[in-house]
Amino acid sequence: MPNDRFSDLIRHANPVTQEPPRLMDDAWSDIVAAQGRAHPTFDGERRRTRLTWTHPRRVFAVAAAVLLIAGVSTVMSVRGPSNSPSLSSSITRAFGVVNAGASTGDFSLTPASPSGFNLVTCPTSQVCYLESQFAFDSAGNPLPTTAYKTVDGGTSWTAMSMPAAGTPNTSFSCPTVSVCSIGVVKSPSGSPGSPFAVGTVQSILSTTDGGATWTSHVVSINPVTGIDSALDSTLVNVQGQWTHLQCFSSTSCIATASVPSDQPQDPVNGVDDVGVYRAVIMRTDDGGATWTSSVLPWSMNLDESPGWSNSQDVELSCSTASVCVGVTTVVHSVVNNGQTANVLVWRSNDGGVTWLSSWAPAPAIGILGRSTLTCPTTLQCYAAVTTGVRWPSRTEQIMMTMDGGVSWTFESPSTSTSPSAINNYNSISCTSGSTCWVAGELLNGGEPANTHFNNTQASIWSSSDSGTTWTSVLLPAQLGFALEVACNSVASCLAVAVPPLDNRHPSFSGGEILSNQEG
Amino acid sequence: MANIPASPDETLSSDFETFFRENYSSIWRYVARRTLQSKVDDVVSASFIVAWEKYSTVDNPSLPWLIRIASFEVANARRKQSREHERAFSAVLEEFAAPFGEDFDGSSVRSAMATLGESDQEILRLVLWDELPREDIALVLGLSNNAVNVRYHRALQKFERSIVVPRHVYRVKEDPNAK
Repeated sequence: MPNDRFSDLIRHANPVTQEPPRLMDDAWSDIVAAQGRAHPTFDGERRRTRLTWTHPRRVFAVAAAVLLIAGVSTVMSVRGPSNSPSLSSSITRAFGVVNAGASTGDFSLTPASPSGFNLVTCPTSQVCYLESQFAFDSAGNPLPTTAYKTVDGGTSWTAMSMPAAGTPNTSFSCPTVSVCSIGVVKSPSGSPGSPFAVGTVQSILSTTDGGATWTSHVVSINPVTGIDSALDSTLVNVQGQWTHLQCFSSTSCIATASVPSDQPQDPVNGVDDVGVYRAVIMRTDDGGATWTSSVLPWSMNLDESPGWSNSQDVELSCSTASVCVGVTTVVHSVVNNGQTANVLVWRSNDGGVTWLSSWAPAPAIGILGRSTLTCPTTLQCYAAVTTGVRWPSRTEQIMMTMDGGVSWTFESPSTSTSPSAINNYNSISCTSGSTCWVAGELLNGGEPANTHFNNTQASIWSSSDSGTTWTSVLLPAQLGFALEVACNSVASCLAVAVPPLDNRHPSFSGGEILSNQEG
Repeated sequence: MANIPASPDETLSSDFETFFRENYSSIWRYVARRTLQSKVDDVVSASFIVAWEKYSTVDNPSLPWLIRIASFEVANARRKQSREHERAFSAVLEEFAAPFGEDFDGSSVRSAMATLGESDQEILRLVLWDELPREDIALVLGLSNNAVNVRYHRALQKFERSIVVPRHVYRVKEDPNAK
């Protein structure tokens, strides 16, 4: 066959058939040395950049859950099954939901929390929807992501039956008590660890009867291509992924997604294994059957030079169906080898059709991820952002605007009981323009001493004067991280919290992590 | 005395070193076929550094997985090359060329390949130079096995149309002893 002839021809034109001229031991030594140098940067920035399609705390929670289970399995293997009841109990409580009394403001454990890392949405004080991810049974076996509903303020939860269209990948968005939607993702079985595996299918599930029945629409979230043909070939049949969904009715929703692009990411310390992820804003007005989408444009640096990494991640909050504000991180290409960044604020007054952008003022340098931006009114927004300088001296502050994003102020509530602690913020929920709750944790000792989260106290702060003053709300002392808070118009809140990591195991990266209730 | 068990970090490091040694030559050749000779070692190192970071997070680290990482490193290295470097790349590639026959140095074949689109070139390289199985190429490119086959044969047809092959090269292939 002619083809065989030509394939032989090409095969024999192979320009490189020899062994590497360099000694393998020398190459290995270089890699070991470079890998060691790279770690501090990885901890501070690269990991977060790499994982921007998910909430950093969510990633942490996954790691903690996995390692916790590893620890549980280890303990069980040593002590035998007789210890399993208490361990099972600790897991359930570890990933529980705590309920806020509207009058007292304090939080206490609810009696029957679903296990898993929970994402909660509460359209009323009594009705909440919850998705439980990364849950494990008493033997440490992973459980499928499950959706629950409560109609009694979290006292009891009932698993909902939903179409097998995939695993929830956004929080529920519920404009009314019975109208809810959620973005789900279905990955092909046996797919590699990439979040954008070939064959991944995204769908939106919607209910108008409180979860009794659901409709499903497949949603295409396509990569950004056309820049680098070499990388384009790697993006065939690849889909992006939901990052956020907000619905205004049973038919109208706006969503964000992180999509792979063929724009290679400039190297930071010689590391670059992926094209840059781009942020996409999507809109539907027919219940998810059809969507329009726009890629947030490439941004310039503060000095008007090209930014090499624009909106890999975007936090979005719409106070109405028309007025939306988003925040993204822009990492600079030319300043300090890409290690500094700023926060870009986006605003749309036409439901996401067009967007204007402006820089958030210093000291904001980066956004934090899922549910850390909320705009209760068209003029008022609250965002948790990274401030200061990059690892190991970063801090987090609450950034607020009262004029629609024209100007911003910053607050970082102090905690008198832990003056040296710095605050980490994971979630913000506001019930009005002036009343908000923030979930997070105190890192006792600050960074870098506490870089590995080895001494934390879960905390929730509240403000009823538009963020001017903040009060620390009591949480049970055994909780180390408050991951999410969801409040409704009558100021009752549910929060999700987990216990601290054991002090004996300050790192996620090696060996067992035990629940603090184990010993 | 009982041996002290290796820590998880030490075990991971040891496992990765084994993985490195098993795949170093293949990755080096993969990179050398696609980038400037002066950049090959750097790109190979960068690929393994990234792989080490991800090593514990994947179920089955493999050569295709590693090649996929290296492909991004190569793409980035090539993107940074100026046009002059791109032109130089063709010449530098010849430094690696191995003789096929007395009259054959492969340059006309590689020149013909260079007229193809990058995706066509890449699948020809993966099949015929890197000699990866179709299922591994599917993993590298994120395609189905069938799509790999279809693309390969289309690329080969394009190559056939583009090449101007000296007749004596045909003779070499049809009859290696013919002159």
